[in-house]
Amino acid sequence: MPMAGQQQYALHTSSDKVYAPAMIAGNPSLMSGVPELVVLRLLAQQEMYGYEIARALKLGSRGALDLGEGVLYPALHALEARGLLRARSQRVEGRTRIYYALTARGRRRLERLIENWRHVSAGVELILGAAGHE
Amino acid sequence: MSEQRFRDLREALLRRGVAPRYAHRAEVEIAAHHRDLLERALARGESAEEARRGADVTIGTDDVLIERFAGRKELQSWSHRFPAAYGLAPILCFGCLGIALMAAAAAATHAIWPVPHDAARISAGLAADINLALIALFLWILPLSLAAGFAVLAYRQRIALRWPITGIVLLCAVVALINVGFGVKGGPKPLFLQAGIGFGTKMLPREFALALSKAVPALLPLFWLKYRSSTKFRSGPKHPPTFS
Repeated sequence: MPMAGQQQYALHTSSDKVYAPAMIAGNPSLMSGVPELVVLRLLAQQEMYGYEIARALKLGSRGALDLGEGVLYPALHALEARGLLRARSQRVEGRTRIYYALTARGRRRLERLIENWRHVSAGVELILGAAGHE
Repeated sequence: MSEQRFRDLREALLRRGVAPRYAHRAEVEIAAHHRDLLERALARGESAEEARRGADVTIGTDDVLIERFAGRKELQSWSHRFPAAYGLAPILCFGCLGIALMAAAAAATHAIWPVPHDAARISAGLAADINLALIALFLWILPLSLAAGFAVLAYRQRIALRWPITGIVLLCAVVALINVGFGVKGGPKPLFLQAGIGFGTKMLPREFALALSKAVPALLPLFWLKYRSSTKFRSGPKHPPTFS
């Protein structure tokens, strides 16, 4: 379990690597692309701003995924720099909101990530199932 | 976190090479996020102090935020990756713009006084005025505007001062060797529009003085922005030595 205040995940979109220190210290590639996958998946449904994304990730995963604000914003900016997201700003109740939405390229990337994830998780399930029957 | 702290965060990001658009957006987003966290905590019944402390913890420290942003190559400004570009860009821009403006001036001359040139229609006074305007445009207004433009860019991206200084001084040195002219002379084609570059060893002191006379006003915007930057963020967090 991650300690209180400790960053649970860090998203590195340039190398598509994610590190969850307590869980995968010896095998960071296991979680490769997960934060990118979930952020893109959330934004495929509707455009959202940072605070909404952070809350949706936490609530949607029942607390299992908590990227942390210090990780979320650099990740969002990097995804936008790579052309996977589109950003627009809007003034709402006296504060500027930056809304993010998926681009066509982001949608294609999301499809590939979902496919990869299902492939990997099916493999893991098979192993877990086989181990459970021993 | 105060508004000043978010401004200081943006300043620190710029000094670490984060592109201005991302540094500015980070300031806006994180400030709004912080306010959202505060409001939510207050709505839950927390005291103002508890709410502020909780929001600060959730957002994280400046050092962590800066490292996260600065660690991403996608978010780095081009000038941070290639600062030496500032050494050559002013002169390249001057060359491109100078050629384009000269071509436009030649086209305008040709349109107003078609071949064969009717020099008789141009008074000596008008020719002298056009000549003066060309000299002012090519040898003063264009290089000084370029120098000011690159000074603003360098300030926005908080790059080391040595690169824009090199570029501006180089530009002024080259401009000091350039001549442009417009006038009327004898012969079958009495109207002339010309530009050239060159130097003579006997003329070097004069050309050096000319370069200096251009470099001083050309560098003023850069030093003014540097002064403004140093006074504006003197009390901010510790920054690495950039734009200094």
